[in-house]
Amino acid sequence: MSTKFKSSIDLNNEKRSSLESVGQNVVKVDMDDKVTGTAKYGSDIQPDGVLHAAVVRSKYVHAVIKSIDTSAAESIEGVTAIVTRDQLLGQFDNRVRYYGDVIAAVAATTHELAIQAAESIISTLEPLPSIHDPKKAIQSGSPKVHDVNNPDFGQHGRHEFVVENSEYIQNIDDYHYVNIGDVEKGFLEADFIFEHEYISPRVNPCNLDTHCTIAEWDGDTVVFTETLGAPSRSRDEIADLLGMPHEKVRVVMPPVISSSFGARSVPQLSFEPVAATLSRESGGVPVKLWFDREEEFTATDHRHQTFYNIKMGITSEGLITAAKIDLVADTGAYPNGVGHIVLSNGLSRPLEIYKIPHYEFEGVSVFTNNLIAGEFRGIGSTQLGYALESHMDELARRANIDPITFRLANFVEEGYARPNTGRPIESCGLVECVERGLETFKKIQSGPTDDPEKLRGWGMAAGTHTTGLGAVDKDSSEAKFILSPNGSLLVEVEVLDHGQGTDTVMTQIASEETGIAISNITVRHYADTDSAKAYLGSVASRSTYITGLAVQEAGRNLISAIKDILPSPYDPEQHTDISIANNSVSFGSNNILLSDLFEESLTSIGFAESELNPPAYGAHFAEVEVDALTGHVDILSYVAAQDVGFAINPKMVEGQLEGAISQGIEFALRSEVKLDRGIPLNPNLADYSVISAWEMPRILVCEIVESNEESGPYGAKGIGTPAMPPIAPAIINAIRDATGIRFSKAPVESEHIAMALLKNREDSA
Amino acid sequence: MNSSPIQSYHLPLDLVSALTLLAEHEGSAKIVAGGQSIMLLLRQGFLSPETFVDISCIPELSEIAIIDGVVHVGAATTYSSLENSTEIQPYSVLSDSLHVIADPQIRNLGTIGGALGHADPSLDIVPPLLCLDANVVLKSLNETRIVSLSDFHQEYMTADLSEDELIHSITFSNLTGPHGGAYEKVANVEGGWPTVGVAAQVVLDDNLSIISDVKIALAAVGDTAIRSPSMEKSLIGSTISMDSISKSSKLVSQDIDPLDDLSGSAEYKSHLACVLSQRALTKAINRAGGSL
Repeated sequence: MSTKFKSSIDLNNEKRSSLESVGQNVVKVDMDDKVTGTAKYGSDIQPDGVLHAAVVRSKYVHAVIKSIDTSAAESIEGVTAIVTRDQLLGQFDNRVRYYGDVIAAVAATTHELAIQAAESIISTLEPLPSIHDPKKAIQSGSPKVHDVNNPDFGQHGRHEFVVENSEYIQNIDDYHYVNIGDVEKGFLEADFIFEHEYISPRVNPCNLDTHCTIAEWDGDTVVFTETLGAPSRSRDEIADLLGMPHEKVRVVMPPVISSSFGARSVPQLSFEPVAATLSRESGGVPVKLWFDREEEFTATDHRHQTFYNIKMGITSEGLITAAKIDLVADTGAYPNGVGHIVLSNGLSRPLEIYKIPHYEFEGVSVFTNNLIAGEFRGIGSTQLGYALESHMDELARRANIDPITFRLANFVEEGYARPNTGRPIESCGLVECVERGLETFKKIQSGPTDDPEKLRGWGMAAGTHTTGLGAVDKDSSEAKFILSPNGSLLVEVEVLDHGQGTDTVMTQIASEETGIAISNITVRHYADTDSAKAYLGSVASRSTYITGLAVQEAGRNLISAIKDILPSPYDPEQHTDISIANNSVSFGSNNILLSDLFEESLTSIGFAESELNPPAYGAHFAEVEVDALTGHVDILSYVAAQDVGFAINPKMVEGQLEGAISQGIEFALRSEVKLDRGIPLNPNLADYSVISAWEMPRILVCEIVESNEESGPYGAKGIGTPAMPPIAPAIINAIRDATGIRFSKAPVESEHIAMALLKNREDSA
Repeated sequence: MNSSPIQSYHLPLDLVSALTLLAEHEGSAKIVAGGQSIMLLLRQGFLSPETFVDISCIPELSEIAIIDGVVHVGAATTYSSLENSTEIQPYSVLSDSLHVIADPQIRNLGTIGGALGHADPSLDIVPPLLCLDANVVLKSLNETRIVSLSDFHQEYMTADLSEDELIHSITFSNLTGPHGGAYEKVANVEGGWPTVGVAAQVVLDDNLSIISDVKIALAAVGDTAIRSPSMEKSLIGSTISMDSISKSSKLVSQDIDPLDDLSGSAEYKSHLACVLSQRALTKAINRAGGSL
């Protein structure tokens, strides 16, 4: 194996040359601690006297709890609390609704004792009829997971809705509908119409560090120490779930933030409430609840499995006349607000990438007795991107149109008003992504093979995801600078560095604006929800965009504050540029020690807000080699052309793309939590496939496109989530090109390919 | 999840001490070498032994030697040591499989004896050893037994191993005549459990045109790793040709009994068994000097 990673970055060098820190490949500031293993994550924390929790979980997918016998557990010395489901804080009735749902929990002085006590608890459950197909769950007569539609579990994004579909009766988590123009008329205008269904996989983020919280009570306030990506929003959700006032719940971040990929953006039903109850019952002392890998697979969230039915009409010239999209998303057993995002992103994304004059979308997220679905990188946009770009490719091939030409003819452009909101598209590097990506791809492609057992082909896909949350609800962020007389700068921001590099980006921006050396800057997040400034945190690719702006502003304000106190010979007319180096300020040929300007510290605040959420775009190209007999897919070459507005740290942009590609390959080809009537068959890393460097493309080139987003810092917009949507469809479209077969259920496993090819050979023989 | 407290963990430094411990704790002790199989069982709660006897520090169990034309591999030899040993380089059927077992970290700890004792039908290491007609040397305080590997794995996850015995070594004879071997595998991810694995070992006549002997063995297609007598019978004595390989490979379905599992359906496994048999045979014949 030899995987080559290259970047071919045709960056805006004129702009870049005028910048010192921003736009450069600054080494990640958090690297040393993480690489050497000294970083202290939440699960590394072990307060004195901490108790350990274990949870008794349901092996039934839907059942009524008849009795729970805790007598054996009570007799175990060292057990400090035993709570049954009905005693848990929060909304727990006597029904379990999925495999892994909580029945009881214990706290004990050691982890082993806690597990021993949990295993000694005997519960009697009476099974209820269960439902696992969301399309059936929604219809009248199927078992009901919740007695009402849209139940209130304190989830964010919960809203009232009116269901327009008379067949959608029950088990409804959320519902979105839009009708733009006249779809029937649009289809009448079409020369070619194609309709198809695409099913996406239930994948797991597989964070190395599994969920861990330490709960304790300070009087009537419960305090959780754990990584929560959107700290204060989660605090509010936990409080609502527990039925407590928001201010009586605190979330404190551990010293080093765990990775998330969305998995830590929302609280978990059998996690925080369980730890909080056990601590309360143990006199308020800290209780540590740390999921093992099986719990991580069963009791935390997965990407929603989605069923997309897309019908699209085009003219003979290849212009889209109409599209009708139906989405059914499997929310699993409980709501968490994420179904809402899956639906709203599924509704909006097609209109942010293609001009569709007549458009109808209906999406419903549905309760089933399956594992709970939640956030995962590119929520909803990844599933939509896979379905839409598979459909665009297949439609073009069937209509005998070149799939790239077809896309270019229908792409939105800067200034185009999105028909659902009327908002114009901000910066748009789509065409440049396609053109530069294709040019590079042609240079690195392996081309045909002589091996009769190998089939080669290539495909592309475009994709988009928005930056920040401005269009949903005006997004804002605050940053605070604290400068010491010795020249060291502390930057406080709300966003958390889960490994994606925000600490480094903020350091670069702070350095750029003040002149302070990278090594003299420390970034710290508002580590506690008691600080009102930590609300949304690192979600929705908002960090660089909105918090980056706040840091930029704080930097400028710091310079202004220094100018205000600079003594003679400083002359504001003459010395327009001042900068801080080491422990002094320089202007012209003068240097003044910071300690001569202020004693303890000098602070500044930066505030940024945006009502925009500019889409970031990508066009990805994949070349695959398919083993015609085994169905194995090898990705030979890959180009990810991504419009990031402006690359504040090009090397980290590449890192984001490479990481996304590995998760995109898992989605496309390798990974799925398999369920048998709701029971997970592979909830461990021995049976659930996670890819390694072996499955990455042999040659991978990142093309960074800079469309200069005017509302972002230095022109930047997001990369973390927007990198995801094009990946799986680019690969699956390449398989279509190689085999002539459209696979529309991901992951496209080797077996599916081998057996489909075998059938083709038998049919033609 | 496993709650049973471990009563004792022993690290004997010589064979007699290890065998004595096994005799003393007969029935309640579990042998551990690299821990790569047993840890999965412990974590999932399938096993909860009170006593562990760790044999990884007994020098004679990690030795690789060729004595009188017989290769001896100590049971506690790690996959990595075997992969890198000069003694096994002539046995390409074995080295092929060692390169594709899990990942380097697991190969650095996992041991040959541990794998054979585990008796999982999906282990990559077993089909090549079946092709080499390997024997398993078993020792207890009172007895040394030599059992052929094909008899050693009796049924699903069950080996012919008494509670007071340990696997001492694995032996197989030097190969003579123009020979070649190969192991072919399909897995969902590199280093993953095989959906199917096929090992082939051929011996050609001196003219390199006739298959004088052949052994084919498969992983993940039944309760144990198994040989394919139907294929072997049809090939022995035949002139090498793609046609005969192709025809004989189809016979493999007579000898296997795959079930649907997480790695693939029975139908796909049968298909793969045929495809991989053909590929392994082709490669083995080419390595033996035959031309196809």
